[in-house]
Amino acid sequence: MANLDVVTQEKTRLCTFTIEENYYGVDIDSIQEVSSELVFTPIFHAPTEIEGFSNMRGEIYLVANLKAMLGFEKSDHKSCNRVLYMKNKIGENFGILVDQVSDVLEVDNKTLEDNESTDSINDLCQQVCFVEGKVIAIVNAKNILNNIHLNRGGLK
Amino acid sequence: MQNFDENIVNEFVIESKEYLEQVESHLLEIEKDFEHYNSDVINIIFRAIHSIKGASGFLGFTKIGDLSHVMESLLSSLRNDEFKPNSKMIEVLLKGVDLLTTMFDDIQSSNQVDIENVLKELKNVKPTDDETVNEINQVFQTSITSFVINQEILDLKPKEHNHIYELHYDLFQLSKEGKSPVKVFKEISSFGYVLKTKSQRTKIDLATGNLNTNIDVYVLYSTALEIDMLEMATGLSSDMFSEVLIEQEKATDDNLDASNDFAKNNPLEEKSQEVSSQNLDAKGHQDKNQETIRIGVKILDRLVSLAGEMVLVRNKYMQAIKNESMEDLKTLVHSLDLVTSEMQESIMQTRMQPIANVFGKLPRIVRDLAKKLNKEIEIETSGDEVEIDKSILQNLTDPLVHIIRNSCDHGLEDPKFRIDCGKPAKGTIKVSAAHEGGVINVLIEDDGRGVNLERVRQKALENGLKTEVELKNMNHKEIVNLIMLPGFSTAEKVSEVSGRGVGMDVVKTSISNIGGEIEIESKETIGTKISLRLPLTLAILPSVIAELNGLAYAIPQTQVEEIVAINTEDDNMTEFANNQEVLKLRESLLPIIRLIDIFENKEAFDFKVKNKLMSKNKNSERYKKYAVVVKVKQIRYGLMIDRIIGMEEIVVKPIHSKMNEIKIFSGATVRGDGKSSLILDIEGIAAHADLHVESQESESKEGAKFVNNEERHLIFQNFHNEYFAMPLQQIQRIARIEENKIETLNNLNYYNLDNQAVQILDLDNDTRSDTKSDPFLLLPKEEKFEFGVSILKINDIADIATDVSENNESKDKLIWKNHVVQLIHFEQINALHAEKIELHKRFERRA
Repeated sequence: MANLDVVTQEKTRLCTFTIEENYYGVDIDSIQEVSSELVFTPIFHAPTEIEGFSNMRGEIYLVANLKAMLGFEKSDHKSCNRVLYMKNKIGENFGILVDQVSDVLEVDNKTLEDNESTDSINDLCQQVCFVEGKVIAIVNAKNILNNIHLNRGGLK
Repeated sequence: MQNFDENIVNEFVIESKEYLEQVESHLLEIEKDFEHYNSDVINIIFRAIHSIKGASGFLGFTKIGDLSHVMESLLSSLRNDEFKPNSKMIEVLLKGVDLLTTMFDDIQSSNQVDIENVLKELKNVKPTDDETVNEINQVFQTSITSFVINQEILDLKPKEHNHIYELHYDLFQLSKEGKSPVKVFKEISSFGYVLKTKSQRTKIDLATGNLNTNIDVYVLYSTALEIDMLEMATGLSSDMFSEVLIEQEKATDDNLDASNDFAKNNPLEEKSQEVSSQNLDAKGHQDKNQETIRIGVKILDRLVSLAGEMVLVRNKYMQAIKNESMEDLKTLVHSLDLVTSEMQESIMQTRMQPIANVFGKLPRIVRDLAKKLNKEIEIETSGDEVEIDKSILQNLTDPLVHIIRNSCDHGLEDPKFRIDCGKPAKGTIKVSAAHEGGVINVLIEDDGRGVNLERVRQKALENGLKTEVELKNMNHKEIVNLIMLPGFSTAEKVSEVSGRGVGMDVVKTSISNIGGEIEIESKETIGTKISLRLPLTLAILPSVIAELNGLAYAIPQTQVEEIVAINTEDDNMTEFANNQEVLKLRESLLPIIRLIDIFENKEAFDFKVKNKLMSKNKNSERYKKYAVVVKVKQIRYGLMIDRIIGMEEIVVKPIHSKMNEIKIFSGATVRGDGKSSLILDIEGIAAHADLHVESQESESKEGAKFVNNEERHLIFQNFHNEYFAMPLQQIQRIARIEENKIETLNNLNYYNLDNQAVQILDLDNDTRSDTKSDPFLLLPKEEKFEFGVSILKINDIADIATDVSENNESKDKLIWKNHVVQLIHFEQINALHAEKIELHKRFERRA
């Protein structure tokens, strides 16, 4: 037990994924399940970044389009797209839609750097790290729900 | 603060509350007939109170212990036939039960509750003279015990018990051995009798927060057994007992009942109020840790066996997949279906509680009210065994109690008055429940004076809830149901019991909050009948599943009145009144909303949006296939959807809290295909579409819904067969004119009527179509209008109510014999006419 604690303190295991060729990572400890099911029930009047509701094992989950939340143009679903469903401790039943899921990486917490770029409109990615020559922006899953605002945009 | 294992305390609270409920109903039973009650009943009450006393002592709830102790000693005298019970005794005992219930509601602060008054009453109610009171309170000198032993305690001791012991043990030690205090208490009770208990605890070491210190419990215990026998029988070690020897000399006790006099001088009523206010205080912080449910062992057994069966199916299933046997899989799916549906049914049953849990409270309420109001009232309940969802049951209590109170207070008459009316002096309230096709019907009937229609009418007028015209149009039942409007109370005087102005509307709201309906029927001087229709459960909602653009939506069935297929061939089925689309549905106009418009327009509808939608929808038959006629509160409209999929019972899931602000959906559900679907919020949609509340009596009355004042109207058609209505008062004369004698001058038509040139106006801009018959000319009464209006045909004269001030979209439209009729005044025609002349002049100038 003690040993594990040390590991989580010093290192973070990231589930990495891409959005528009950019690399992102989410602490794998916050993910409940990765799903390839891309059928969502649209919620009219919800902001654009909301894909809709989906049924994950009998529970209704709210699925947000991370791409839209990060300021990219939304695109049609592709078969390689995945939904990362978050654990309940992260926030009330929700998941994020990403372009493609890639490896799980273990990064040393010391190598994490604060995200200096100011163009990000929200506090989704506060940290970045460099692994194998790639820049990985670390998405803080706990901030995702807070960045959904009802009065912005609209589903057309 | 007690820090015992919470579970033990909870168990004690739940058990004690059950005991108290029993006690209450048994006390009422005794009260019915003091002469011929069953002596077993006293025993049951006695044992119940005794158990409460014992366990409370263990757990250190001293006030509960004290109160139940005094109640017990009173009951003990009753049991021993020392004296007969009387109504005052029952009254006081009930008060004690109330106070105990209050204390159990908030057990942790029970030791702060003031029980002195009730204690005094309990002590005083015994028909004893002061001397015996003294005796009881005299304290005996005893050996080695921390208990104060007086005659009162000794009286509790059965005669054959020769030994009194003091038991001393450590609760903490006991719990280590896996014994709960309640268990120990039950054990030792089977060999003797617990006279008194108390507990003492060493201080908690705050630094460590360690509770593992001794919790000492002392029990004063009487038995016929010798000490060694007792040891064997109870399994407790002998060092835990010590025999108490009582010296038969009486010591004196000084602080005797000066309090007796105090209590005597205070009338009962004052105290009962105190008790009830304490009741209220406690309610604020109760129910935190008591969300438990009792399940019949049968149901639990069934669930366990079903779970086993399910595992079996899963194993077979995995086997079948391994063997890739399609045949096996098919049969397995069938058995899986069977098991799951049975399982679901059983699980739902665990939420079901007999309605008796609520009905059981009613006799006591009725009894108290009858006393207070000096009436004789009997309550009969039936259908106690009908089961209903726990959450609905919880929310049913308040409205039901309110209705019963109303019946007692306003409904049933004074005994004298009743006899004068030829009714039995005793009023009867019948409460029954029955299961009927997926709903529970609860009927509350009384044989009282019924609702006074005249007074309801007056009140409605006084409070401006309805106008005279509206009232005239209402039938008996509708008027009776007016009493459920907010701000309605016909009670002449505000009494303590009811009539504070927040009356039946609150009942109605709470009933509809749990998805139910309420209806009142009443016959003056004969009685009132209130029927409630309640859903079986809240978690599962029978819904109409509708489809729009390939997606399914659920509409709660209770809000759906009917579903109308729109005949697209018939152009007249829907039209626009102002900018609101309306559907002609039997003699009345129903506003309709195309669901797609709601979805596509995120902003709440305003004038602009509505106009935009009108121009879009006017000639579009798209999204206009079925109208689901929905009604919620007082809003009624048709929701246009593509297709009805059917009826389904859906499991309601709350909508994600992030999406709470979206008011057009009330929840979500997972349907059979595994997809999630949204539940439409009928009220929210109406608000989004800016639909207005229509006045209540709307249905089925020709045109009445738009209006207040009835006026005689002439109904006629113009040359395009459009229907119009004009107030008869404005018309001076209707003349038949000959079409070919109309002369045109300056582009205007004139007619020679009685040697006067009268300008003729048409009710449309276009040239008139060829007609075979001669037209009529309507001449206005007011002389300022120098024209007549030519019309094609006079249809009828009808009484039509008009009210321009009413904020209704289609206020100038109404339905007359299946036609949409436009209300028109000479004023409007004049304005139209002036415009025309102006245009004409401008045209001329330019030319």
